[in-house]
Amino acid sequence: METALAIVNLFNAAAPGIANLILLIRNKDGSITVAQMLNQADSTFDANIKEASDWFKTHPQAQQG
Amino acid sequence: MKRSMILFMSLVLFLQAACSDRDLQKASKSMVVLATAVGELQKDAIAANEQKLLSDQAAGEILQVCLKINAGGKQIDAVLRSVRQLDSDSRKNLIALLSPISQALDSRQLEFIAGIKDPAIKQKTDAAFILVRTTIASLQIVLASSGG
Repeated sequence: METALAIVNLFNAAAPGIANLILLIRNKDGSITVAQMLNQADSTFDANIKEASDWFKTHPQAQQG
Repeated sequence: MKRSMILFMSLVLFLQAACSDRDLQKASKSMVVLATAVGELQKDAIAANEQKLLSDQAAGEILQVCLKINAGGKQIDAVLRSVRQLDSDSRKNLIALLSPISQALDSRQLEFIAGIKDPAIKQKTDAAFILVRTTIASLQIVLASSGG
């Protein structure tokens, strides 16, 4: 059981590094670049939505249907 | 012989899977530009509102349009993420998702810009919406093309 947990912990610790390595390897073929761009766009959309929603919370009179 | 053939086929399949078409890359770039442009537009509207250069009503109208674009953008992003190539079905699907964004950017929906009193803010808002519209138009052109 302890060995299994140790393996899981080791994998968890190594996973981000492995993911980065895969990104570095696959960056040249373009496919990950698309994924990265879409991730960037998605997180920006999320931030935009939060920013606008926060503004409406402080300006409820400006809220429309 | 059989083993090398399997290896070769695996390599071909891997390379095919790893490659994404150019239109998908162009569309993804457009999404980054769109998200960034909308983000800047929002920040400018909020900053102008804080400085009392833009009324709550006008800032609210701008942010409502931005919310529609952001929501539509996320849907488009999700579709682009799910495909490896822009085939005719995904292109049709994406064009349909662009429709509400185009409607939100319709000049009749943006008539409030004419009511912005500060000329600099008015010009800046107008220019920001032109950039957003241009990005949407470029995305529509990419999606309407035959691919390649």
